[in-house]
Amino acid sequence: MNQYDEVLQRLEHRKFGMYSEIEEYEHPYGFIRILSPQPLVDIQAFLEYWLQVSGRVPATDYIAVIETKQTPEIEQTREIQKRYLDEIEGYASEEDFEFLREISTKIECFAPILVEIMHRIEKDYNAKVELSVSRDSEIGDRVFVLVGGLKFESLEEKYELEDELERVVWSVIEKYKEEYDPSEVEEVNILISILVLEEEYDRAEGI
Amino acid sequence: MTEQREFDPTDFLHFAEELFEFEGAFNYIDAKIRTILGRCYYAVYLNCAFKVLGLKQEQRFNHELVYRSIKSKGELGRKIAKELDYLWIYRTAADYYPTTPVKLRGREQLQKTVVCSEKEAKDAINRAKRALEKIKDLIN
Repeated sequence: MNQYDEVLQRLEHRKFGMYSEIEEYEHPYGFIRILSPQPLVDIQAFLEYWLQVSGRVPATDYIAVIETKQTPEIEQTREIQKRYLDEIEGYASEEDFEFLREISTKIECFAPILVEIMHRIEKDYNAKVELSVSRDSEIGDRVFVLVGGLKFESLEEKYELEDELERVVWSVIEKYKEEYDPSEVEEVNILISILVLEEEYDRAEGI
Repeated sequence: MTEQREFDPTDFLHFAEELFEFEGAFNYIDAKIRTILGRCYYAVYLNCAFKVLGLKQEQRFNHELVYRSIKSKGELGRKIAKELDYLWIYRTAADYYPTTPVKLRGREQLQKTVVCSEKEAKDAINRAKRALEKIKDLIN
């Protein structure tokens, strides 16, 4: 029995009993063998999780379950992801960016979708865009694309504007469904919310 | 055996509209507004759950699940989810916060100050109407 199997067997006796299936996962950071269906796709998160659930398993055992097999394609994906992340960094606070980077490593299409949505809103509507992250145990994590600098005179106008922005989001989402795993794209769709800043309007209306 | 009765959750909105126009019960104006805010949410939430998602009342489901499932239903679903979220904030304030204004966070709204005012009640009715129209479009 090799080292990996030993670790697996030990974990199976603990909380991993129901996750005994093994799958190999190709990821920008390498090639990971992981227990399915854990949704952990980056090494750091994987190690942290492993440590959390297995407790006493020595650190050397973790290495046995990860094979970092670099390929030119993987390197290229990493480069592309990095470019998108550099782009995102300018739109978010340091703390929020850490979270956005974390999601980007878990969902491959997250950063490209987010960047395209932001660019299209900025360009087509001449709007100011910022990113904000909400981490809330009750409502789940959310990424807000804050859209400011848009003028509207009435609630109806605001709704029309929101509808238009939703159409932008939806067209981007649909486009990416053809290129990436649709279920991952759907997860991004749920995660991202467009928020038209309306504070001034609210104050005027007394809502 | 007691006969089964079907309740259409859209009636929560109809009731909210009637209640908004009702001019009696002056001493309970806050309760009236809070009832409207709550019923508008449930009109949309239950329509989403039963009519769009086809959930059964015996099944276990919750607000987050319904929100996420609706949002994944294409462009219309996204719009409905947005209204549902706004109404959820109103409903949360109305049901759980006796002291207002209160700042609450939604799934689509980063932060919203709710007073539980008449204007908000009207806004909730309009949002529920818009959402129900979109639900009709989504089903058809």
